[in-house]
Amino acid sequence: MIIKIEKRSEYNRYSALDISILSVLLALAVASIIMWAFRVSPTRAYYEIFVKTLSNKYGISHVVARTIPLLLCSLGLVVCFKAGVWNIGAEGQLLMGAVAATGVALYLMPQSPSWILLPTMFTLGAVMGAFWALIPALLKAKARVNEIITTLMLNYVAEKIVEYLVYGPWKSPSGWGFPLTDTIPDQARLPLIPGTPVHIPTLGISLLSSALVFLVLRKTSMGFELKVYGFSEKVAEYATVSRTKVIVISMVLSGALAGIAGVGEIAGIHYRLRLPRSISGGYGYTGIIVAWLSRLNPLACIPFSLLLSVLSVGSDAIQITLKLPRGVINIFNGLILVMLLVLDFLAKYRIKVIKHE
Amino acid sequence: MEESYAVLMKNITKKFSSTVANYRVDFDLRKGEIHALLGENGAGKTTLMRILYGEIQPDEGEIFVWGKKTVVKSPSHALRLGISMVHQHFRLVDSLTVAEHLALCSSEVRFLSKRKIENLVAEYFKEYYLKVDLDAHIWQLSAGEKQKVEILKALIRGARILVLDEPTSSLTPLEVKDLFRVLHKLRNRGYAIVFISHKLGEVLEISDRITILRKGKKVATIPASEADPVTLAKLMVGDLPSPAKNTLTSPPGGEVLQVKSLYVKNDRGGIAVRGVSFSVRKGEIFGVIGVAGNGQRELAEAIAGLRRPVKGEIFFRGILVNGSGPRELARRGLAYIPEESFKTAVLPELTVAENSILRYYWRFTEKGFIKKTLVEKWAKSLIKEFDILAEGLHVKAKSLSGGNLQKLVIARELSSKPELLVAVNPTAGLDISASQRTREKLLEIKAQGSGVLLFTEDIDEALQICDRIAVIFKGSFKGLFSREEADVNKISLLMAGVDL
Repeated sequence: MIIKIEKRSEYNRYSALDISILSVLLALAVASIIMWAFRVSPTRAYYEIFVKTLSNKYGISHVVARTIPLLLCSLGLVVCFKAGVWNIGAEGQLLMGAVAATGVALYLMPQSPSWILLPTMFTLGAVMGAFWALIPALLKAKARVNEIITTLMLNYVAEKIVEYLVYGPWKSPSGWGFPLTDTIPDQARLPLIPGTPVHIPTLGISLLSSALVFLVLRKTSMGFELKVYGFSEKVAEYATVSRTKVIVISMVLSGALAGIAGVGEIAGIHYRLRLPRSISGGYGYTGIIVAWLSRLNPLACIPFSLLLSVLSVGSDAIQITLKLPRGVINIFNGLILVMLLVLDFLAKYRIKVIKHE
Repeated sequence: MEESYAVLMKNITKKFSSTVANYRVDFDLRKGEIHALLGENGAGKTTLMRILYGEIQPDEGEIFVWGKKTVVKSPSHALRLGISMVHQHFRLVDSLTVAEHLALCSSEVRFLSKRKIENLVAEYFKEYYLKVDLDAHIWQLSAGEKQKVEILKALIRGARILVLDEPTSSLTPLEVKDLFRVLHKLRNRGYAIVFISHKLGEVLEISDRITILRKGKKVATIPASEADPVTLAKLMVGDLPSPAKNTLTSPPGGEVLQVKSLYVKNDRGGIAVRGVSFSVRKGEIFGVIGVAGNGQRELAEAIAGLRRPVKGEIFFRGILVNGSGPRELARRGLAYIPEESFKTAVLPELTVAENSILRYYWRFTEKGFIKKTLVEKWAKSLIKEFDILAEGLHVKAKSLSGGNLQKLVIARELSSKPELLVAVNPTAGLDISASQRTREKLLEIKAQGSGVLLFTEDIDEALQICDRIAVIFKGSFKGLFSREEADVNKISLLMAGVDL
């Protein structure tokens, strides 16, 4: 018996979007088996996750609040992935943005008025995130160091820096020894939609960024260069596309967007720096899944960020109501990505089992 | 009676979505014969043979192999039947060595033992003049060397029926002679050989019988002894195109390119170009002729700014450009058609329109935005002027055939109004009319005052359109002829490395 893998001649039977949606559904189906193993009814769980979450203001507002950093991270990753630059360091870039925002608000210029302070926080946050991405970008461009490794490793470095700051020099003297900084002054806090944790300016920036990234990728010569390089480094060289430019610009853009997400988390949600997993909760990693589900289409990132936020908020809720372990949300994310990869493969190839004659 | 046939194909019909590639084609192949399949690109030669090789299934028709009715299910099935096919575009793995490829083809070599492989191929190396560096990686080989590996593979697999798809398209005249010697020997030992080609001269020289296909239909099968070029060409294309002539218009102008004792390394780190000096003038076609793999690619890449020379100087329009990037050179008017341009100079996943500006997208940009209307106008004019078969501007380039992709590259580069065009085997793999048209276009831009540096492996092409011809061998120039003093025999010998 031989298992044979053949390329399908017609790839267009299912659109890329069909596959994305199908993979989410399949992931939910597989996850229901796991729930069943925990003796939790999947229908009830999904009812809680989707219907309950989206049927009250509290749930919806938290979904939107989590969509903001997720969308920003995924947009940056779309840019990188389009160029075939495998940045998986959005998590670290976000944290460095958060560090910069906290530093500005607490130490650099705590007395300044809002209209100076907030733009400075955003600018330096973006610069810091961009810088964190520039390191692996230059290593890749100049020395051909694999960016997957360097970006991943720099995530851990960023986490350690945050931990050092909150346990060490930036620890709040009035915090009973908890790993927290002082809270940032009122003028460093972003305006919220009243009664919700949704910070308005960052929401605006993230939606605007979707449109901008879409425009850049579709209409500009920069977008063309990213695309050409993403398909073939060799042909890109022939096409007079600068390799260094593509790598540096895609990474810096991506890092800046993640950095802005970090600023938003500090100035809109937490108002202080705290342990890395409290600040981010894996937005940089979930952003990878969003980017793939949206097929590197920046506009599609909006609904898919929302979807994964619903799953995230919903799973927090069922932890309490149904006593499911925290890992369930990670299972969702992991399953979605696995299903997506498998379905993508099956859409392109056909697996044939041949019984030998 | 059918016993003497190695292969008998009856009434073969194959349709692809909208086109009929083969329509009720009959084909037979005897033991101990070389049977040529002649036809223009797209005549259905390759499709017919891919059906025989089990790569695609016919919609209708029957196949008999060794007298037995057979459905060839797959290439591996074909191999078990003793049928092997050498494709025009090689199917080799770039990162593997020659030895590894050959080991994969042999059931005897289970572990990779150099000695065993050497034993295995010694006979072929000696008898068939197919010597290849066993330790070389495929990506390091020239097109000609890759061809040799493909033929070795088929021989090692013990095929008795050998299908060669355009086997000479990447070989030089001398290599072709070597190949023909191999094929004759194989035929005399009872092998059955199908020789797919669109080159009349070769077909007449090598084959015993000739089957002509035109637009998917069989036109005739005739013994080679009864055929002559004029009838064959008429059967093949209907009408014979008149060849372009290089009429010396105005005398060439100033030097657009000067190369002074240039040394360039290849990917393996060896010296590929050693001390080459020459110049190309405005309004002239300077031909560099040589067997594949003698430094042509490296020389072309160095001039195009894609490969940094080790030593020496390149002046483009009077300015020293060693170390200038490809963009700067393109901006100053250097157009470049690389080897196997349908692979190396287009992106199949991009649209036809996007590919039409691939090397010049920055010319279509205003304030960072690509001007769509300009691009569409440009792409349309290329398609029209160069007769490119595409279903639209915004379909992916991968929907085009290899020949049309190549035409797209040629169209893009020739239309970029270059000061200097560097072209490496631009007509290899194109059919007669497309090749002829390309040569006419080269003469046209020459007449407009552009310099052309043409790397070619085709002596006829060089003699037909070049003003001066240099022979390259092992990275050095072995002689420089003006067109009047160029002599086929002399050039052939120089190409083979014989010092005169």
